[in-house]
Amino acid sequence: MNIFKLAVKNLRQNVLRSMALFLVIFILSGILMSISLLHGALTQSVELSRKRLGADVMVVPSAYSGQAQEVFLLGSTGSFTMKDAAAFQRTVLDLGQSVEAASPQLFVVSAPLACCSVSDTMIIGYDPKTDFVVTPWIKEGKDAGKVQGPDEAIVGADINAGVGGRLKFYGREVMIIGKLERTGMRYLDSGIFMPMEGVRKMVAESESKALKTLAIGPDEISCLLIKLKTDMKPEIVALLLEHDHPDKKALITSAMVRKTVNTLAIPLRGMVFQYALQWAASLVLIGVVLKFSVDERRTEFGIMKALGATDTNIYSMLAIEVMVLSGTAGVSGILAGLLLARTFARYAVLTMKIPLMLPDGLTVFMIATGVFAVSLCSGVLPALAGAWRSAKIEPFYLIKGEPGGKGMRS
Amino acid sequence: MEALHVAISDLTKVFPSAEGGVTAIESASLHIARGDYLAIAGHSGSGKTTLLSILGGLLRPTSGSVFVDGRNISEFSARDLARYRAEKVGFVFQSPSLLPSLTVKDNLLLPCSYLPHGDASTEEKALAYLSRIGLQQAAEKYPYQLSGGEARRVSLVRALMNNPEILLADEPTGDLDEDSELLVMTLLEQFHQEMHNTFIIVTHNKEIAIRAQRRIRMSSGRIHEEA
Repeated sequence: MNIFKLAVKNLRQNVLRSMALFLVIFILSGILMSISLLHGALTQSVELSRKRLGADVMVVPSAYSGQAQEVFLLGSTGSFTMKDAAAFQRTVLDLGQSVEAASPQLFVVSAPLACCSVSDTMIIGYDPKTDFVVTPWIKEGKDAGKVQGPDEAIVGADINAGVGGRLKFYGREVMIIGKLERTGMRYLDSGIFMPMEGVRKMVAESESKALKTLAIGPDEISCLLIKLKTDMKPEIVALLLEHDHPDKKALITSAMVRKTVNTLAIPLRGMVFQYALQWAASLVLIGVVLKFSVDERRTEFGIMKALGATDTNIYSMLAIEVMVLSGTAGVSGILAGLLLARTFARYAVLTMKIPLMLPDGLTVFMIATGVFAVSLCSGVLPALAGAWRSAKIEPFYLIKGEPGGKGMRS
Repeated sequence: MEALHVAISDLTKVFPSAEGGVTAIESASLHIARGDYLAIAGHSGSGKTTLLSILGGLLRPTSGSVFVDGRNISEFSARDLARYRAEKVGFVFQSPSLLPSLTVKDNLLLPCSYLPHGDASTEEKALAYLSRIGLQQAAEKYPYQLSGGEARRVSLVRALMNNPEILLADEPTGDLDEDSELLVMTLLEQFHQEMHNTFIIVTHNKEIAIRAQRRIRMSSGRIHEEA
């Protein structure tokens, strides 16, 4: 009979008490996990989105700026173009030392017709020579971006096709030569990326090969993505471009994400506050449950001490009991909290049109570790405090179930 | 003459109370030889259980000393007292006091787990004791599945698991019927004869007290030797 066995037997034999504690710690850790993830999502979404898109400024036709934001931030499908692309790109590059890179993209939405393998998906034409948005994310076929020909494509992580597979769009067949790693941004994860030359050919051949003709001129693009040098403020570049080209809108990535995320921030922070109150109440509840639980076991502790148990034996037994309980409840709560936060983030993207991005794997792991530690402490500390109070009482009083110091004689 | 085992000297225990204190034991002195079978009789509130608890290291006296094998246990640290209880003392309480979450066998093994140096043969010993008290079939049962007399017998052999030098029994037949009372007392006396330990029993039952080799009576916290 060792202390661990004794602790597990106690847990098994007192199912109601164990379940009550499990439930409280489960709820506590679940709430804490989801709060932390959503808070992290609120604070990180702006920076993460900017980093994952790579562009500081995105120039789109001003009439379609709303649709363009939905394409970039939420991964919605949409096709729009602006003319005189080559001339405009030259204007941007004329900004000289403030621009690090500028790369055009052309958006086409696949049709729900026999000429397309996958319907309602974004086919994004990009320029492999100037690109800085797509190629950094290539996971399979690392050099695919550099050697991509007009009959080849790279697909996002959510596209259900692998390297070597073939897809057909508007009658034109392309081979998949690369796949992107998951970014958490649907624009990248669910897009099909073809070199601009390939998309132009697809557009030209659509009249003869497809059931639907694509009406896009040879000098049209959907957007120009601009990466600025670090010391350059995107607001200044946006002002300059919009002044010279009033028919175009220069979207500043960070401001765009911040604006949409902020629409969620106030109600979510209110929710976080409510959750925090519930969490504090849970802590009090755990303390009360454990206090009564430990107090009702004073006679048991007294008998153990009469049989030779030291205070350390009692502490160890209680600590193991509570650690097993808090540990399993904590892990279950963490998983439930993760699921809750993911569901909410998905709901925010799909229904509320807000690009809420959960923190990356390492951050989630660190948050989970912290929540686990809090769950353990929430159980272990009140239990040990109760045991400490009992330890100060002589076994005589513990066995008699008296508070100590007021014993009866017999 | 047997060697001196326990010596109580000028022992006083005062329990704090709103009125300033209740004296449970007053200036009590007593010598107990090794292997003695001593009955402590007296009315309720006379200080019997308090004296037994101090002897077993469950309670510290207000003043005076308790020497066991020449060592004053009233000056022991909490850890030394725990070791004293584990190695030297076996308790049989007024109620069976078996832990409800443990089976009968695990209840017997529990005191052994508190010994600083484990005993590999404890499980065999537990089963042998159960067989001796006619409860070998009850090893995997839980305390709530036992009758009062069975639980008391289990509690008795649990007190013997660590081969204690002193066996302390506080009203061990308190709420038992006559048959069970006789069975428990016979077992206690048999074990005492076999193990030659010092056996101190608290009782208010004259018939039980009279079976002891030596009897003392307590009243108002004072000890009176009986013939």
